[in-house]
Amino acid sequence: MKPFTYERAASPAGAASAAARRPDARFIAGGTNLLDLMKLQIETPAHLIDVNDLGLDKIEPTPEGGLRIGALVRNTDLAADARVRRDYAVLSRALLSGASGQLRNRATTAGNLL
Amino acid sequence: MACNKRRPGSGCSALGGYSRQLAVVGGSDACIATHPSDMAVAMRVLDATVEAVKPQGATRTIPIADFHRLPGDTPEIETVLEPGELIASVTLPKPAGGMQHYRKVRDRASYAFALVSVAAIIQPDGSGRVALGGVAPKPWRREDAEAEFSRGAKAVMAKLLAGAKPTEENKFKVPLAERALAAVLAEPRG
Repeated sequence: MKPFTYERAASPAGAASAAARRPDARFIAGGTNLLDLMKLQIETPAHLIDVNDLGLDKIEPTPEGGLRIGALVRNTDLAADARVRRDYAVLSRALLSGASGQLRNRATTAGNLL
Repeated sequence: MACNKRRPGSGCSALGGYSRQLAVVGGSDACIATHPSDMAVAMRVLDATVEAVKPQGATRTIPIADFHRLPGDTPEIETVLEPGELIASVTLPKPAGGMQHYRKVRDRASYAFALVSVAAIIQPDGSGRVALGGVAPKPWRREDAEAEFSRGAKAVMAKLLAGAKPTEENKFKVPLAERALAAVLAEPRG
């Protein structure tokens, strides 16, 4: 793994502006993909912006009757949410068909989209 | 190993090489990688939206249908996110009801990427929605294919996988996807 610098972002906009300043940076959340790729030097970011402390870890109802899922909600927590299991069962089933329990405990909603 | 996604312009070892896992539709002459997520396929069939934050704090909403890019000749650019944009949340619309299925077919029972996966929502009247994983560079859905549900899995898949260009190694995915959807449609509707 190549050396890199590291910071913990304190707000979503702060994380975004830190990334805009550093084109050689990557966001890190669960790290389930990025760390593997860094160990193999497929990804070689010079700087990591940790986004785990942004408070984006909640699942909340929306005024339209849906659910807003924070980017940092872990796959395990999303799959187990009673509202997801009842109203969006396809999502719960898809999550549980992927990876392993240990990985789902770390992997995030946003990371899984990328 | 040549990879246009990892090193743009370096070529593609998978085209003409080992391609069992790779895309049959939506790929290009530069890249036939599949999007590996199961979650994203479910998000696609649920019509989720992605909210992104820009460096100045402004936010924008991106329908998941538009979130992932097809590779074309720039496979290294995988999404429409701009440099510095951060995903803040993913929003699901109000529940769609119906029977909700995720059928994943893979080489072993656990801890493997999909060869083909089917995310489907089937309503009691037989109408439905379907998105596929394991076959394309993004969760693969064509709403125009869903008008064919009354005519069965073969008709749906003929539209959904129209224009497919599989390799010799992964052409099995086309009938496999059709049969996986047929298995879903054989399940009880209520």
